[in-house]
Amino acid sequence: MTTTYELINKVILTGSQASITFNSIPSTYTDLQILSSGRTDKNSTQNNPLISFNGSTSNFSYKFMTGNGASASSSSGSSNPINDVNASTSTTNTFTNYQIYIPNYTNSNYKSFSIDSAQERNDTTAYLELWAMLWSYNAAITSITLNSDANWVSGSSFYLYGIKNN
Amino acid sequence: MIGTLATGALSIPTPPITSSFYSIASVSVASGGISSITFNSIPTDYKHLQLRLFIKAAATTNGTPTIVYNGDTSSVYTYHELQGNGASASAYSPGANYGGQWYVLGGQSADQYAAYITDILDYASTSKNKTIRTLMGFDNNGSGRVYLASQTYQNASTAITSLTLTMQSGNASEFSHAALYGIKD
Amino acid sequence: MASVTYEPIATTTLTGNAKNISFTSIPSTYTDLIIIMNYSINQPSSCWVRFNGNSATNYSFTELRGNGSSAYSTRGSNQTSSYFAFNVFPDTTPGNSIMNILNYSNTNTNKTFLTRTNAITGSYPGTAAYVGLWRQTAAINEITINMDGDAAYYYLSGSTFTIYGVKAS
Repeated sequence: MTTTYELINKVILTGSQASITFNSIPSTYTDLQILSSGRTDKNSTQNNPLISFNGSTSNFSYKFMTGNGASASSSSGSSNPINDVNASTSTTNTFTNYQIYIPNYTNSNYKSFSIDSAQERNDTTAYLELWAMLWSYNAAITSITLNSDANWVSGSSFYLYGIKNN
Repeated sequence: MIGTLATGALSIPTPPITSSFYSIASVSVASGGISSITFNSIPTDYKHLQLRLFIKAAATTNGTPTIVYNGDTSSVYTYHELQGNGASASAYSPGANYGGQWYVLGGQSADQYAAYITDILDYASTSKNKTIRTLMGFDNNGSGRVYLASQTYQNASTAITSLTLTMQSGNASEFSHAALYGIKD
Repeated sequence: MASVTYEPIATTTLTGNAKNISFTSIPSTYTDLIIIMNYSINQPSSCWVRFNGNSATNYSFTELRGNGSSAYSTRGSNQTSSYFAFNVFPDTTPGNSIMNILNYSNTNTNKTFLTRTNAITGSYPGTAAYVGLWRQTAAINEITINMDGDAAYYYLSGSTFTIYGVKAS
């Protein structure tokens, strides 16, 4: 029985962990979606985790737009950071709500994907972000790693869904 | 051949059965409108909620309705927005410990409804504040705004079991629609 | 039998280049439509959508965009189609757009839709959110995806376009 929108795997942390990885991603879906509620223990109010595909941290580039509660701006780069997430000195018990959407993750072209992110704090300053990202590599994506650049804390959750177009 | 319908097969899939994305409940606003919409008794066996709103304020000026969770109207909320108004991009927050989320509606024309897609991840957690992310906007053919917005409901120990949208001025118009979906693991 | 909440309605992957893609006979039985587009184009342009073949000036949009240097907003009014990727263009490297059309089959309201578009490369790259309006109350039963320019502008082979239906209870 085929399904359109289904969970492939999940990671829900009960302790700290530097990174999480979804391995052996089946090629039977069309798109991938990660829904994550994440927080790190980096000594800051927020930090940028790092994404890798198939164990590679290379060939990533991005353009993003952010609002910090007071002003909007945009930036770009050629590396693999992703959205700002809550870190250790941000509001207690508050985790960043973000979605990573990767269409056509198995095709033999470069991979264009998006991130929509809400990092909240009990403060005027918090970061809303829209990201466009590119992995300039032709291989199908078979694994995804989100490296916290510190440790993901207990309670951080990561759900990988597959969406199928037929 | 350029200029014709797409080359390549246009396939009509055999409808599959979804396994993770479920409809929980929906409200269609009838004639006369309604001042508030509530989803009660939200089951806690999903992992995430998605609220999809198509809504217009009956008032002739833009309204700022609020959404509260579990009937909690105390100052336990935060709100942030990243906005485009057709002329400039901006960001705003009213600051800490606010009461209720702001959704901005377009009510200046008879037929313009605003659209909202709200994602609440880990809504049933009893150890995390609830962070809510919304893509929303309205366009009035010469005016309008599009937003990415967020909110925190600062209640880590309680799952979200209800949400209430309340119009600050008048009613939500007939044909407004609210649909709540659950995403399972 | 389990109810179907989220399902594909139609999909196409271009096996040759094409300037436009049409989805017809869209059933009215869903609540919302979601169009997932992953595409490359041969030269800078702007992509747009048109409903039910309506080419009158019934379309408008408001855009929020970051191009990697600045965040800004634009709008278009009284247009013959609705841009979902306005001067945000990929080249042969793919970009993507996700369009949500809420209450597409309601025959009492105009149609409002939200789109996220992303393109890293090309002449006008960036990430954007759009709200679009089609000022017609007809149910949407046909969607045409096209772009500005003459026949020399087209989507490249391998581009994919899928419509999903989401059904509320």
